[in-house]
This record gives sequence, C-alpha cells and structure tokens, in this order.
Amino acid sequence: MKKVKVILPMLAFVLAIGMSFAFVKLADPNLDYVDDGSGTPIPETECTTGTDFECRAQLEENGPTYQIYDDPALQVPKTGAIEDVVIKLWE
Amino acid sequence: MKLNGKHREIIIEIISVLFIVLFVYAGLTKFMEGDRFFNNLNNSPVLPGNATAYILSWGVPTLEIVVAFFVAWPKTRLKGLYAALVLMILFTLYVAGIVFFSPYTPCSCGGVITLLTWPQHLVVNVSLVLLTLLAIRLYRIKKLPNSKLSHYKLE
Repeated sequence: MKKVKVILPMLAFVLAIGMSFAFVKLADPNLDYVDDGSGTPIPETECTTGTDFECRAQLEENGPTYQIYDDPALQVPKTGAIEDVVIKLWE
Repeated sequence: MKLNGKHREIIIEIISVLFIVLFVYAGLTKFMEGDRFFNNLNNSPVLPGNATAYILSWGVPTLEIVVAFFVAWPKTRLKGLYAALVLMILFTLYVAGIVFFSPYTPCSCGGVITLLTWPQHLVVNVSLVLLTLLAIRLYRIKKLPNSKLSHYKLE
C-alpha cells in the first residue's frame, strides 16, 4: 500500500500532463482567422497587441470587415493599441 | 455499510488522484492557452478590470498546480485537501455568479470542460466540493485514535 501511495499520484501527474497536451488546440502561429461565419484562415497579421481597439480584415474590395482572431475557435480576438485597424487582404 | 480503515484509505486515494488529475490538467491547460484564459477572464461579467484578469490568469493555474503537489505528497495531503476545498468553493461561487447573477454568459473555459454548459459546470463543481469534504472527513477519521472512532463509523 505504501508504494501505491507514492506511485499512484505520480501516475496521476503523468496522466494529467498527457491529457492537457492532447486536448489543447494550439493555434498555428502563421495563421489568423476571421469571424465570417466559417472562420476562414488568413495569413498572420501585424496588429499591435492591446485591448482597446479592434483589428479587422476586409477580404474583398468594398466588402464587409471581419474581426480577426488568433485561434480557429475564434476566442482570442486580435486588437490594436492605438486605433481600430482594418487589414485589406485584397490589395 | 461499514467502512473499515482500508476502505477509507482507498476512497481517500481515489479522491486525491481525481483532484491531482483535475488540478494539473486544468492548470497546465490554462498556462498553454494563456491568451484565451486571460481573454475569458477579461470578458467576464463578474470580475472587475484588466489587472484582476491578468493576476488571475497567472495566479489560478499556479495555485492549482501547487495544490495538486500538496495533495500528491502524503505528508501534506490534508493541507492540500483543505486548499482544494477553498479553491473549489471559490470556483463554485464564481460559476454560481455567472449562472444566477450575470447579465450575459461568457464563453466557457478551455479543454474538455468547454463541452459543459455553465449550469452543468455548477453541478460538477458542487459535486467536487462534496467529494473534497468527504475526503477531509475520512482523512480526519483515519488520524483519530481507535477509542474515538466508534462515534464516526459510517453505517
């Protein structure tokens, strides 16, 4: 029982570490995603990090602008520090 | 059902392993998805300010992993279980705040738990609080001298 008391927590640690690597979806550092309904991937954009202003993308000329996200789950929005930024992908 | 010493030890072991897996998994996931966790806290309707979100985004996962080490080490297990109880009560209050008092519900946390809705999250948290209480009670009974045990026998 004494050995089990030491080995079991160690195995629990190993299991938990394995699970966290298995379930975390790490974002591709070379891509961003836009909230256009299907989460279209776009090349990594250069928005300054900040939380006050939006960083948006325009996929076609005179088309609507979409919020840019860092992750495919569209949970981490990119933001601009000084003003709202619109990346024109059609240029 | 009569719980003898061996049964008590097995139940304590099972609950401890559950909390180690839960806290290490939750802590590491929050570190790995740091941006997302910070963003969830920042958008939370029940937490004030950017600074709070920043502090919690580092503090919560660190605490979770430290508590897991305390639970894992037999000599500090009781302290670890008390710390786990405090953390679980705080998490439960936070989730209850979201479910009952929040004007809107933010997106939920990362990992497997994303699959749960907030009310389901609350039920899981309350169950985990009860499990921690059970483990603490059994652990304290285990440490009592035999003469006092007759008062605590679970039948």
